[in-house]
Amino acid sequence: MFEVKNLCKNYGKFRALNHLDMIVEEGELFGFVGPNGAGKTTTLKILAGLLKADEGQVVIDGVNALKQPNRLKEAIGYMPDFFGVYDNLRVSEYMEFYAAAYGIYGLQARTQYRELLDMVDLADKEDFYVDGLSRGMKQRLCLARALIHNPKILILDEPASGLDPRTRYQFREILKDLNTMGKTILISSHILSELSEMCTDIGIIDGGRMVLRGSMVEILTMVNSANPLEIVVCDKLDEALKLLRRHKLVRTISVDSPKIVVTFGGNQKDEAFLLKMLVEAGVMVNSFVRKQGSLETLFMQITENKDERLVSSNEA
Amino acid sequence: MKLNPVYLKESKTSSRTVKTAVIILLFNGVLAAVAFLNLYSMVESLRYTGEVQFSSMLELYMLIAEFEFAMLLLVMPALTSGSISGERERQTLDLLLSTKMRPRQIIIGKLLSALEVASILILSTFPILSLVFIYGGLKMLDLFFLYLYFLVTAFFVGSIGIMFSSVFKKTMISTVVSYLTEVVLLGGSYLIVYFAKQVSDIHYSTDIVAEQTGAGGAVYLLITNPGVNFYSFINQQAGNRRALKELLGGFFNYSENFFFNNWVTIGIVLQIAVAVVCIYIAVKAIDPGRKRF
Repeated sequence: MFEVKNLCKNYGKFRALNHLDMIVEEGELFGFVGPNGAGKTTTLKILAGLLKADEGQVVIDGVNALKQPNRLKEAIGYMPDFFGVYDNLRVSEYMEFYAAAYGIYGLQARTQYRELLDMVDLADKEDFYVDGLSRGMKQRLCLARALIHNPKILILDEPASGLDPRTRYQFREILKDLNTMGKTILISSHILSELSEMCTDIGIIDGGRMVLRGSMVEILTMVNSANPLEIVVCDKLDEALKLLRRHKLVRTISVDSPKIVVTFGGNQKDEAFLLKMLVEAGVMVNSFVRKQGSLETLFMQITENKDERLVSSNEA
Repeated sequence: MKLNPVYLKESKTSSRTVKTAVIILLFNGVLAAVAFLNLYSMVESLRYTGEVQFSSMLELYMLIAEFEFAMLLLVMPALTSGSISGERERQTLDLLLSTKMRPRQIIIGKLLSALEVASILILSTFPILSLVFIYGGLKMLDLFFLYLYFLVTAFFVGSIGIMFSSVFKKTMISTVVSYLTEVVLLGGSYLIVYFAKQVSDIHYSTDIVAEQTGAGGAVYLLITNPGVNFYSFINQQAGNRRALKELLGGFFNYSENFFFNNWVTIGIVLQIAVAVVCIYIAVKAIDPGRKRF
């Protein structure tokens, strides 16, 4: 696991990170979201050793890795939102070059990159020139590159930007596989629907601070509990309304016959009791559902009414 | 052997482009044209006078070496001023810096690959320079020293190019500033000394004896001028030890001292020192550990 403690970063007078705290447990697939200028890229760059923090710590295995850059770079594989490929270099040479950059040479390097190319489905492209690969292939190659030194933590900054749905799906499946293999993955993305499908945990950053953090299940439950219940009855509408008005957890009721929309403050167990009460009173209930919320809804609620943040050139 | 990964990668990619081949072709083409035109004029002269001027071959050697020096000054910024800014523009610099490679290794790898190309360029011109051996006058060792001198020049100019490439984000700006710096290095000190002499000439009226006029201490600025240094070096090789005196004598009353006796050595040491400072600045400029703002 790794822990970000009290991280601060200023760009001149603009405070990009404001005492950011974050814990990512081992084996988590952590979605890191926030509006533009919230401090995501700054955080990721500090984690990748590309930016110096003004204050704070990044603790990996009990050690402040910001004080030991080599330890940080050994532990972290970084994939930015661009490909960063060279002309006139073959896929195998590209991988060998980055392996050498981590001090891995010869047979060990070849064995490692071949395994990785196989994993990202590029094994047959070893002799192709990198600049001749498609966008999706380049992106998978960059993922393989980020894994060349077998890091414990993988940091991905907007990895799915500009990709078609099929390629995004393939990429998501690779990430899930990596997560199953025990890699801790921190992924920043604006495609929240994908994050909610893929991530085990999520953190929302705003104004350089972590404003919400939890497991995906907890957060989605929280989102849903704020949504109204939609009850559709076949008959005895008046009887149903009478019962609902009497219930202490019902706050508001609106009727759009035969649908009743109820703001209900209870949990899942309370919902079950309410349904039982209606059925026992002889109301024929056709449908009884909590309106589903989404990560987008929550994200919009948390970050609404905020002006577009100043983004420094370094973070852009 | 574990060589610098950046150097290995650069060598591999540059050998696959036509750029290096075109530079070698142009470089040698220009030098060969200069050499053969000069040789032709010598032979023509021989037909009319019937006299073999052995010194003409040494002059030819100096002329080719001076051309080569000038072309090296033109080529090195082109090879180095885009080396780091190009990585930035390709968005690969962050990827390199996120690995275990230190900024120092990246800069040295880039410089080594530029020096490798320079070295190939210099060596490829040796058959042309070897024309001097038709009549003799120089030893193989002299050619070796010339090779070393050119390498120092390439290191010096290349380091300036890499420094600007690290400091500026755009290759265009870095290239322009690198060439401007060269112009200032070659012409700046010369102009300062020239104006110092002019001011001195105006200040002292004609009733003062000529020996009292001159650029004074400003003349020592020329020791930083790579052009003056090379002029002195190549003339010494060709046996003309008075070349520096003749050049500087125009500016002040030349008298031998430690600096004038060791002009070339001091100039080379200065160039190496400046190159080391440039490399240091380049390393600091790309170091993520450096605090910005």
